[in-house]
Amino acid sequence: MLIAGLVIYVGLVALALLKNRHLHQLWPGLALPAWTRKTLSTAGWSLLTVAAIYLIAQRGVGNGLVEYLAAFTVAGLILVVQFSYSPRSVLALGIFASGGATAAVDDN
Amino acid sequence: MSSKAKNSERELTIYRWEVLGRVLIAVFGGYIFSIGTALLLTHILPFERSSLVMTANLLTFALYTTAIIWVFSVKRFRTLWLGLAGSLAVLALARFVFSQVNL
Amino acid sequence: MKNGFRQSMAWLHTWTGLVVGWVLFFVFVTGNLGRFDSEIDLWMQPEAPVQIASLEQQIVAAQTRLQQRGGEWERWGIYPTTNRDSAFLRITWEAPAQPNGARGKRGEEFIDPTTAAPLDARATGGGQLLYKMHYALHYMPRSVSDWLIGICSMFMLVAIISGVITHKKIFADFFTFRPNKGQRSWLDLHAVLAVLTLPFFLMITYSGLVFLVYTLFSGVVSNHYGPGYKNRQDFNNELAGRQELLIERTGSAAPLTDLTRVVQQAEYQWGTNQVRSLEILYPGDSNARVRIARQIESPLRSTDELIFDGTTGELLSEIPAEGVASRNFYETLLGLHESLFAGWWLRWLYFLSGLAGATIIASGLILWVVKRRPKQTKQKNGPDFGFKLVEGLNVGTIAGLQIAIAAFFLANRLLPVDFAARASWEAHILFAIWLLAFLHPIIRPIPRAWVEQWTVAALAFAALPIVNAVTTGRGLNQSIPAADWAFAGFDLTCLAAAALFGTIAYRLQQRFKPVAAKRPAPVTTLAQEASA
Repeated sequence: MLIAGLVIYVGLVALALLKNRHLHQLWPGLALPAWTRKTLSTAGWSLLTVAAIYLIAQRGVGNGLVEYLAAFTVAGLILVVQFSYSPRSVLALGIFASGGATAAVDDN
Repeated sequence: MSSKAKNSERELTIYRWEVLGRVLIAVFGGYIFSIGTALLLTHILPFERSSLVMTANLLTFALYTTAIIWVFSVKRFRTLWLGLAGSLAVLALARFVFSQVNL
Repeated sequence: MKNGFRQSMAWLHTWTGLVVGWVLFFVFVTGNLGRFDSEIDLWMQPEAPVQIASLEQQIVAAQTRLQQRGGEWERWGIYPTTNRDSAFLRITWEAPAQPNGARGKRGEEFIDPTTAAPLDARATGGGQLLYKMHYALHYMPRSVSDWLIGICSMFMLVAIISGVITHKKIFADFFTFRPNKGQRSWLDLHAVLAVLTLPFFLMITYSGLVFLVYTLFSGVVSNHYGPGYKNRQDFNNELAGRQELLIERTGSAAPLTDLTRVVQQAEYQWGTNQVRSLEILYPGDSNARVRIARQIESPLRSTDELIFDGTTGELLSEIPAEGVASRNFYETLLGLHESLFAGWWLRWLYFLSGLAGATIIASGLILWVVKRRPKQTKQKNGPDFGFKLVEGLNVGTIAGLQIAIAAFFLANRLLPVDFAARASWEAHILFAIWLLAFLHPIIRPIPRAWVEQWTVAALAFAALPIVNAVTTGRGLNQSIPAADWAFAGFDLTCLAAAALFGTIAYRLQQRFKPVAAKRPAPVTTLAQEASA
């Protein structure tokens, strides 16, 4: 569930950056070119899907979906708190989560 | 000015009665509609009895919620009455038809 | 009704939410504590020895005790300590259905497996009582509480649906919370939490209603199976394919088979530690049946079952966990609600979602007040009675309930251990303190009442680990090194609650004070900031 949570977190960060409100919290005034937006959107949704497939494969449909929603909720909550009180920490945790998830997948 | 105040007071009274009316229709009309529909399903669907009853059990609250939302979203009171009377009539008719077919 | 569809839904959301918000807050808080009912059970009976008896020994003890109690019963239940859900070996009994068709009276008892006697520990309602309050309330029969809770839950379902319709920018505002902006912040908090926990919120409400379908829509079952509890059981057995349980008493007595042999067969079939519970139908009758259920390991609450003849011990049938689609759906809904399958991680996340749920309800109630306060305080004759009532009820419910729950736990430690009526007095104290918390805002200005109640709640929860250490000698300094996680977890959670409530009290106090000191601020800003 932890690995899935990290993947979901990275996916949510990608999707959040599509919203100018959040993008400008990190890079004020930055305008993303269309292809970057497209990449972010694809990456975000793919990561969210991959995490779901991973959990269902690991834990079965019932447990997998429940754990997915639980991890999704927590990742979302953390992101909300970060964007509200310390937007810059999103980058740090995002990089850490990408690294952690990659390492964990390598281990498997 | 006084007639204006009187008017708005009258509007408020009408509004309050309308709210009460809608609450009553939503709670009781909605209940009859949802249990009626659920029961009708158990009589017309071709599954085993126990499975049908459970399906109906699971659907009742969704039906009830839909009915309540509908009652509060309809703009005109008249539409509301027509809808209520109409759906109950359809339910009764369907029940009657299927009871004849089953015999 | 109002001008547009969305306005109508906003109206509906506001009023359905307000009318039942206080009851729902109670339901959410007590139900959420129920996620750790067994751990709270352990904490509330500190002198009870750790039970490490074998399954066989537990079954022997349970059968001995049930037979000693005598009498004629519809069914018995035995719940050995083979999973987290049973902190102690538990037995239950249920009388035959009443003449009016209602379910027979039920009772239960924790058993010491070494002596086959009731557990030798202080009397308490335990975590089970808190957990049961979330659907049975207290001081009233189930026939009343089922309807009350059912109606409130139905309101909540309507409030959720109309809320989703009202909140148009669900995805645009997915991560948006703007702190320190008064009404805006309350709305953000309410919406962000609701969006993030929407699947949980919908599931818990709909499944909660489905638990009550036999009361609220009893007509569906009784139309096909006849009224009353017994017929409902027949429906359930038919649905599950338990033909062997669709029987009546013969009326001729026959001794119950040795349950350990039956359990051995089940363990042989499923492996060790797989037996979750036993149900004995018509014990002492020649038509007795024993139904053994396997551990729950997924959201699907129904499990593999074995049904035995209760007199010969012969295996009659095997019921698989999965059956017809409608039953699977039903059992999955209820399983998701009860979370019996959840391990530690998931259990804490359930707890977190429940906290979010309680916060959504609380922020909705507060939002109602904050939105109306500017207009209300400008009125010539002061705020309306209804407005003041909501303000007071908010304080008494949101902060007051926390004090009452802390008092319930404190009473468990401080009432004399041999005081006969202590179990019921624990509950009396909870409700008496809660009543005081409702009266308190009448005599105090609302902002002061908030600060004072959160302060008392913080102090009460901070006191719990200390009182526990003094009265039991199993304080944090003992429980953490001993890896006594029920105790350590309970005490640490109390400290976390104390820190949270203390922070709330402190911040409210801070917002309230400087404004008051600097200038004679208009009441509106003062009051608004106090609850912001």
